[in-house]
Amino acid sequence: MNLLAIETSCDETSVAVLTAPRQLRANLVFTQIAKHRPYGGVVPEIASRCHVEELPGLLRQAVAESGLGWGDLDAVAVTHGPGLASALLVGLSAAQALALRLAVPLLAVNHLEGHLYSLFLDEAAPAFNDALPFLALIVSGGHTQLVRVEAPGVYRLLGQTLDDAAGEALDKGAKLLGLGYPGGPVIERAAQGGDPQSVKFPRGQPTGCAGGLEPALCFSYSGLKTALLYHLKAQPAAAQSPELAHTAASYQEAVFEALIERSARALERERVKFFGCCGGVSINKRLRAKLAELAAQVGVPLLLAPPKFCTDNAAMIAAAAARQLPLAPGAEKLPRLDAHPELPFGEA
Amino acid sequence: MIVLSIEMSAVENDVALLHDGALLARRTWQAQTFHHTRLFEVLREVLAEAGVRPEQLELFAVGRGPGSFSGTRIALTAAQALAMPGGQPVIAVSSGAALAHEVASAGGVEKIAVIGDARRDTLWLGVFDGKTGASLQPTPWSTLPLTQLAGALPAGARIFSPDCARLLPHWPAGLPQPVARYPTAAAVAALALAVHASGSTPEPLLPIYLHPAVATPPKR
Repeated sequence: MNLLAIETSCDETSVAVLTAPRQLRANLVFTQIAKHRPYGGVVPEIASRCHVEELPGLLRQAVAESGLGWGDLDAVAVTHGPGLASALLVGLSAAQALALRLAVPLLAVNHLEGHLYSLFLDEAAPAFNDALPFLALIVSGGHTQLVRVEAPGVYRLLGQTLDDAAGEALDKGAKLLGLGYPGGPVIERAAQGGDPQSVKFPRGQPTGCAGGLEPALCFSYSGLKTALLYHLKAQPAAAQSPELAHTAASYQEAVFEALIERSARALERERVKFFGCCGGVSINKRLRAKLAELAAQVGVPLLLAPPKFCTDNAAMIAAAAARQLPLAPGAEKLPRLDAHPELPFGEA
Repeated sequence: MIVLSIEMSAVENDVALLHDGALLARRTWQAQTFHHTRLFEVLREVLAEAGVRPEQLELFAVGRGPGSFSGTRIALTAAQALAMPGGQPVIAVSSGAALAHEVASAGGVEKIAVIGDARRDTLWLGVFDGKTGASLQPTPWSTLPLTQLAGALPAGARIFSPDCARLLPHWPAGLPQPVARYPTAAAVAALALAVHASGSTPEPLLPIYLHPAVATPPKR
């Protein structure tokens, strides 16, 4: 089964060609970070303009690199949410047109399901079905969720953030510290050699949680950003060298401690075969070390994706789409797909 | 030559399938926020109605605005994706110029002004020759506040606009009101075919943007 997948939900334009389950023939990612950096965050209109400009070329290049012809493709997959509406529309338009032209099934993928499948793209990883059930901590610029993965397509949402995502908390912290964008990597760099215990920032433990979720497994990062703001007002030197490394390390530690604490609780309650962490924030080395420590403590093997599959990419969308094939009897081959900016993921 | 033309820059969207200039099938529909992908149902409908398979399409014509960013992005992306496996040409033309050409071909107007809402408290304006449909401005599209429109219009110009619903509530007293008119896919196809036949440099396959992506520059 050869799948062509398109991902344009945020600020990465990506096209992949995958022979399922994991012979990845092409995975092209055009990252727009440089265009958004001057604004300290993703500007939707810049993202959309960039997708329109880059996507056609990436499609041609991906198919050329795959060694396959257009006629060898068995399905076209695309992210239909969550994400920026006007950015999603570009990928959705290309995917629907290609599926129509090639007369192949069109498969809609939830971006967060894509992140789950990113854990299984690497050849050294177990097969998805052999890892079940597993606990996944999804940490990206826009999302922070704890999910129990029961089977392909069966995802139980255990906890999530009530306000900012971990990646957003890092972006906002980096902005306050004058470190630039994106926050994750610049804070990680600034934190090197710093003492993560030097400033005690809050771990954002919600006391109430909507949608029937257990507050003990949920996150809140808005107070952390405010705490940093007040800390910098009281001690302006904290944003200057040599204090900066300690401040950055402590801030980053607070973001990650919250992730580790809630994951530890989830691992206590849920009997799972693996513990995975995916999404752009999972590239961070300090977080990886803390996750490995937790996994060793509880005796559950840890799954991480190589960094190239952690940030947004179409390879993970192709991998997630493959589970929909062959199409169920009676399933619409060319469903009409609109953008779903707030597409939910997982059942509580 | 079988041409598929897609025009989605205004609130009235239009798709036409033509064979050597003759209309095989056409669909017109109202653009709806959050339901932009009606285009793909429409494409299947017109292809089925005309008995044409997607791989038989020989040229793709697309309107690139000025107008709706979402509409033009969907149209431009879809046309390129449809053309990609077979390597057929995709020609983008200005939707506003297509509108002017259609008005010009009907005759009876000396000069044609096409205007629309460019947001950020401005209009977009193009002025075209009433006989040839050729642009009479140094750049095809300029932007200006509505209050300056009267001064910018050449004598004898008649105003046409796909944005009347948005512009008329703010229309200045004393200025003749615009005629409501939408660019059609057939007009876009005619202009695209002329570009294709002339071998002139085609326009970029991107929407016509009349403002930078960000209204306020970054803080330094």
